[in-house]
Amino acid sequence: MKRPSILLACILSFAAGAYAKPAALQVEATGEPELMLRGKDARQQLLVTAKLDDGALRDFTHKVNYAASPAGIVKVDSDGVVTPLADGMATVTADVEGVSASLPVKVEKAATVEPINFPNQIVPIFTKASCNSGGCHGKASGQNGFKLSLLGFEPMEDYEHLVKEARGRRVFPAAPDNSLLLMKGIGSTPHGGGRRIDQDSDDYRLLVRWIAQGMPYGKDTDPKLESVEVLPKVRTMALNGEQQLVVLAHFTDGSVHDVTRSALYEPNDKSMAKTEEDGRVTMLDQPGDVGVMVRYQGKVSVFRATVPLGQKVENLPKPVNFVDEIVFAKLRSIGMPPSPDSDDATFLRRVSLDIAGRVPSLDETRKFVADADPAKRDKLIDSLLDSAEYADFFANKWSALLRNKRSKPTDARGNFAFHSWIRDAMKANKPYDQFVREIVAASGEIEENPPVAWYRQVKDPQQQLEDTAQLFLGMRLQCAQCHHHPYEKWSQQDYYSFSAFFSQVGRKPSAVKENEMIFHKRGVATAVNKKTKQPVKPAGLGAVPQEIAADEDPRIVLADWMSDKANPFFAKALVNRYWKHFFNRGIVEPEDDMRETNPPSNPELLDALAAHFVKSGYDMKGLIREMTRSRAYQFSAMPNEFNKNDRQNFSRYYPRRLPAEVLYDAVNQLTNAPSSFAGLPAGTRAISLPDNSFNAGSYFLVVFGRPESSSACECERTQEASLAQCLHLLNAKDIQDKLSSNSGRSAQLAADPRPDDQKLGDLYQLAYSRQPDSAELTLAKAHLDKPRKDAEGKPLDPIAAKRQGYEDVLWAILNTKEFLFNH
Amino acid sequence: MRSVAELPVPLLNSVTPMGGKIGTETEITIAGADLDEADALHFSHPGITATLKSPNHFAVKIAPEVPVGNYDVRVVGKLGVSNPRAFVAGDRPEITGTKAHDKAEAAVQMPMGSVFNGNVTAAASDFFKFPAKKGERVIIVCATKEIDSRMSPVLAVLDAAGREIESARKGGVLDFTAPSDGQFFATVHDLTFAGGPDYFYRLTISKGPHVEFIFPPAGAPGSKAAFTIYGRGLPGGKPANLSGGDKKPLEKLDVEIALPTVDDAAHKRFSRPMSAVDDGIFYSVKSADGSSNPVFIGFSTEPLSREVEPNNKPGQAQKISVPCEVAGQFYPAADVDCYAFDAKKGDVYWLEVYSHRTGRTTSPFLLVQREGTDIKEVYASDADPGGKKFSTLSNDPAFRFQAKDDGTYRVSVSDLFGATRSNPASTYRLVIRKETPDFRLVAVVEPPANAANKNDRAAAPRGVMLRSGETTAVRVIAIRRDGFNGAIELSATNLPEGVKCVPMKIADGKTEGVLLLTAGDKPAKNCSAIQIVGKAKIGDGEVQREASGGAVVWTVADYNIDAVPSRLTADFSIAVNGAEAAPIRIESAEDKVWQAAKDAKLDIPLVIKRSGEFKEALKLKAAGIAAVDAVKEIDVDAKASTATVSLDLKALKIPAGEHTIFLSTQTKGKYRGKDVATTIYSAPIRIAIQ
Repeated sequence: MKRPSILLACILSFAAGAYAKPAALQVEATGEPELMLRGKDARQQLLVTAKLDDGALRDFTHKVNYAASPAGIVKVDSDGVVTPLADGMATVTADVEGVSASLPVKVEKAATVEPINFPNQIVPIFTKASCNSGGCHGKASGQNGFKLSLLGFEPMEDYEHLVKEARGRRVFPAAPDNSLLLMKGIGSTPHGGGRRIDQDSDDYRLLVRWIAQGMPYGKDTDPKLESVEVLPKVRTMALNGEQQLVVLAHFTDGSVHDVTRSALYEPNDKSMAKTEEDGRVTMLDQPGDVGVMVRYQGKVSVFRATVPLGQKVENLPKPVNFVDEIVFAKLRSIGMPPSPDSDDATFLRRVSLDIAGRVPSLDETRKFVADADPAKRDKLIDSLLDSAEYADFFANKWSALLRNKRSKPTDARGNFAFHSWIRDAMKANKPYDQFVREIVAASGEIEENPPVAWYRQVKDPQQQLEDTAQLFLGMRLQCAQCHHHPYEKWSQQDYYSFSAFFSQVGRKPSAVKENEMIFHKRGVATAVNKKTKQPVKPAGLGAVPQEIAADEDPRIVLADWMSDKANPFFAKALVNRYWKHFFNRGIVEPEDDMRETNPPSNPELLDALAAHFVKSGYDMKGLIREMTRSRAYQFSAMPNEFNKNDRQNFSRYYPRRLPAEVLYDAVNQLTNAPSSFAGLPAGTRAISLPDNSFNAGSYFLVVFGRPESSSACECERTQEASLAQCLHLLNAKDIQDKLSSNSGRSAQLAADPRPDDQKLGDLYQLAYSRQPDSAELTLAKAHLDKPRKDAEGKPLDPIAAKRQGYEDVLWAILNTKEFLFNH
Repeated sequence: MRSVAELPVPLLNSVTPMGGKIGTETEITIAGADLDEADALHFSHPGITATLKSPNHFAVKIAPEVPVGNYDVRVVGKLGVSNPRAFVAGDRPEITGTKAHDKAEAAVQMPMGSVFNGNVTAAASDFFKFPAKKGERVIIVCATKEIDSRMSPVLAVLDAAGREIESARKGGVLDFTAPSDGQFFATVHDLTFAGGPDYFYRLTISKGPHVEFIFPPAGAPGSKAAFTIYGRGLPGGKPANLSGGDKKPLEKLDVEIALPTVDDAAHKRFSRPMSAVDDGIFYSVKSADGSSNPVFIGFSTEPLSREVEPNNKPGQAQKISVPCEVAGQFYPAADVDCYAFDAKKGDVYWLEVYSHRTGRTTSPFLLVQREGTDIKEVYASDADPGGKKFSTLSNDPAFRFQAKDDGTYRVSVSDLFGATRSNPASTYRLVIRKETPDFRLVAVVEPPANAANKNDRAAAPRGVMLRSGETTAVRVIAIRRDGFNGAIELSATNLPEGVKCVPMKIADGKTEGVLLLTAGDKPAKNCSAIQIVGKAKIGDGEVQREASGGAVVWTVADYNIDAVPSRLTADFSIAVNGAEAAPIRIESAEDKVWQAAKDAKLDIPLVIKRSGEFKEALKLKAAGIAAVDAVKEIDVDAKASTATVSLDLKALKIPAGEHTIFLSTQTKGKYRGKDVATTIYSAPIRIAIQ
């Protein structure tokens, strides 16, 4: 029909790679066999899907020619948008390359203009045009005297402000085009926000008509929005491929309307996909899974795309457990060959760092590499899980998240006690649900029952519920305090109902004023929804409100709801957090932002891990064992020719820099330097520090990002690289002292009578758990053998020269990525 | 910190070792301040005696008949008698004179069943080693707060390679079962790695016995009653099918214990935690290997029964007939115990729970209801008669119940701290008694007020010294019960020769008063225990109670920031020494009762004698009864040797009857070459108004 569109289609498809010829086409709109258009304002975006020879589905919405027959009933534009012209039946046909498909269309009341409903039709225009965004008129104070509710959550308020405020100066029914609202919107009069809508657009025309109609609000009996649906829901796409989405709004009267051009689109990983305002999604060049969040008037839905790499996957090892089975299935379906297995030295170092927060000792390295036992990796995992260092490392992790923070000197005793309690729980492998219960429902005095310390930092129900949700349910509810959560289904009602669990927390001063005693204040748990000013009963997220008797501690009811087998969030949050700990990327990322609109990259994996975890009795060590035993965890970090860009399919190990405390201990171990922290026994490792107060005395820990325990987010620990870190390792006096100390490694090695080959071998094993290769040996030995002069120019004696040489080699090793990273 | 020091009195910080084996002699070293010419140690049991060997070193003999337990020791020197410190008479071999070290290689070898006395160093752990066979159960106990130490112990057991096997962070008890034959290390450190001479401990490594708790936690005094002891390593103990607070299995042992009567003084010689203000005894389990830790058994005042589970729901309420006592446990977690009793309209009962005061880490809560309607939620009271300097607060609630109608009432008992804690040792005793007004007294010596800083919030231990003609004041705290608001007359008995005490009153409704002790001219040198007694008219009769001694254990600079550690003492000791004269001696010119007519004007002449270098002018403030608080301060010139107290009886509205008043002043002077400040008390002045 329209030649330019065919040309365009050809060009587009060439750009996307090889042009695939469709074997069959399908046209759909709402999923019904017949498309119904009612009223003059009706519009419908079509979705044309082609099935290729190899069975793959591809979006051809913008690649086909459209025709409607008989003429005059509907018209279809080149983007596949259908507009009604007159009542009757017609058939819309799409064809390309000789393949075609059609869809019957029925038009009713084509001449009727349905009365406009303000919340259903006008408010979405403001959302789409970003008028009511948090940056402009949607913020709490509005913009330049005009306030709209954020993202249109409160249509009645919007109507008040728009139509009645300021003596109705914003709308001019007698001459609608001259309404201030429209003139500002199209930028024909100065507007800080610029031009938000086009004069030649359906939205503009609808606004004009609405104003001309006298700005009707709509009737109470008008249908209300119930949900939104996106088509397709899931699709496998090609790299750089394109997909048109269709967004359908379902109303309470059963009617369905196309809101594709009014909805908002956002991918959950911007490095994988980008979206257009008209609902077109384009993949970039990273294979994997991406979710596109679709939002319309407070309802959300998600489109999930999988982009395979499409390579042959032949070298998968035999799966060891369900983790492998599911990860490998994904690699096969995506067509991404994994990297090979890591060697023993790499695995030893990696798993020691991930489980026990330390590099292996020289002895451990020698023994492990020489051990011929085929089960040695599993045994190593078991022995690391049994070690005191595992307890230290994970106590350190949880201590920061549980805000074990030294805000004043009198916090010290409570902090030591709380850290010790967490460590004991890790050591004894206390079931996770019990661990959480004892924190959330903690009562008593801080030294007698240390988890009460959590309540010392998290002081009011708002903070308590937000931390609980973020830490234990993997959800960020903060936004829902003041308005409906923009990305998730949680409303203020949900927020305040959840806070009601914490409404009966009593506090009474103990002998030390700062250490309050926590207990359940008898009374019926209730909170007030700050929006509606109505009382609300405690309710778990998505659960029914509870009647909790005055005598019952509602926090125990909360703990019961969380640890219930059927709770959809509790187990998933933990397994996802621990997955991220070991695999450097959560199955949902970020790990505490789990929502429908941020879907897991491998939902089967997440579900299976969660089910396994619950079935095991919330066994944390058991979970770690399953994850680290898997071949998936043990892949090498070195990419093959295909998986360099893999960020979420776990086809290789994703390296990351050692966390601050682990690095500090590793540097000390390598240089044989003592660590000392004020008030703690000499030799205390940074991994064992009980709270954040020791950061103040250690520039190293601060510059490498040790958190201050001010937040329930693991992101408080900065893993970012910085110039300050490089400079510190290169130049700091602290490091120089460790290198040049008389009792340090350099001095030891210099005085050691063995040949350099052997000593360098030890050094490399200490740093990297491997032997140096011949090139490294040659380079190092050449450096060690260089004759040196002292400051006056006199040649140094051999031992002094050797020592300097070893200091240099050690310094170089300290600064290598291989040392600084876990890989 | 005070800008000018107080008049010095011996301060005892530590005795090393902190105990000894009964029937043996041991050498101890004392440390503290102002221990000039310390030449004697005063123990709260006559069977423990000491002789001076060299400065601050004593040879202590513990006679074989001394019972196992914690006693008080005070040092007596030129400047008086000090505050007490705990001294343990034990029945195990003691290791003393050995220093513990912070390295495994230098670990102290501990024979099974022995006790080590030492102190931790800051930022370090002390290492010990002991052998054990596979499956052998070893109980490691570290006593600290019980013996007045600042330390909060953390214990750990390591294997021969130095790897931690297990640790115990609270309670000072580690119950360890050896996983294999071999040598094991035990380590001890303070919770925050603090250390120094004040962080002393007694470490016992043995096979037990160790008592976790006793049930019921009370019995009728003067009776022989059946109890079950729960613990570890109990001689003849059987599995109890219960786990302790550390989740280790407990044993049980049924015993019959003959409880002494309330007046039996022998059981009062032990030093007790502040919470044990009420009556009871400390009981230890004996075994061939040694005695256990002491556990408190309260004296019941009503017929005692036990709770019967299930009684968690109102429908399951256990029927009891009041007045009575019920012994129960807050167990398992979130346990609620319901009891139902009948009462007639107008019946008055006091409901009280004893739990926290017996050493449990609980916070009991009472709910009184009738047929589903709440009558009262009872939390523990915030009223603290002792104040922050000597807190007598506890978490135990009490409530005056008056039945509005005939009917069945229900009381539910639960532990506010027990929501997530399953610990069978959380025992309690619910007492429902007829209103029985009564009182208990605690006598404490406090340092003189800080004249320079009225907002001083320090608390410190203090000893006693009576020089020739000196008067000292004792603070007596009254803990009133069941609404008793009447006056309490205080007096002292068993005073040493030359020391007098005039009865004084704690006024109606007040929770503290003062008792003055006055030494005469050149009294003989003496240190002995006295009894302070309170008498009150309650109902138709008279009730007499002996005051417990109380002491602050360590100095605290600001009681709003740090809790003041304090406890009851085994006795109340004073020292008298006529070698020096009181800095300033103030007394009425005649030793008589000053008579006056109602509404008259009464002038009482005073005689003032100064000694040493206390030469400042004085401002005397009258005290003793509320009415004289309005008397203006009396100025006394530095050179004056007389003064007059003028009482305008009409204006002051002093009621008819006999009263005792006194004067006090804060003054500065020089003592032993240093500037000191002190509070001077006059001898009591008796007046009688017609």
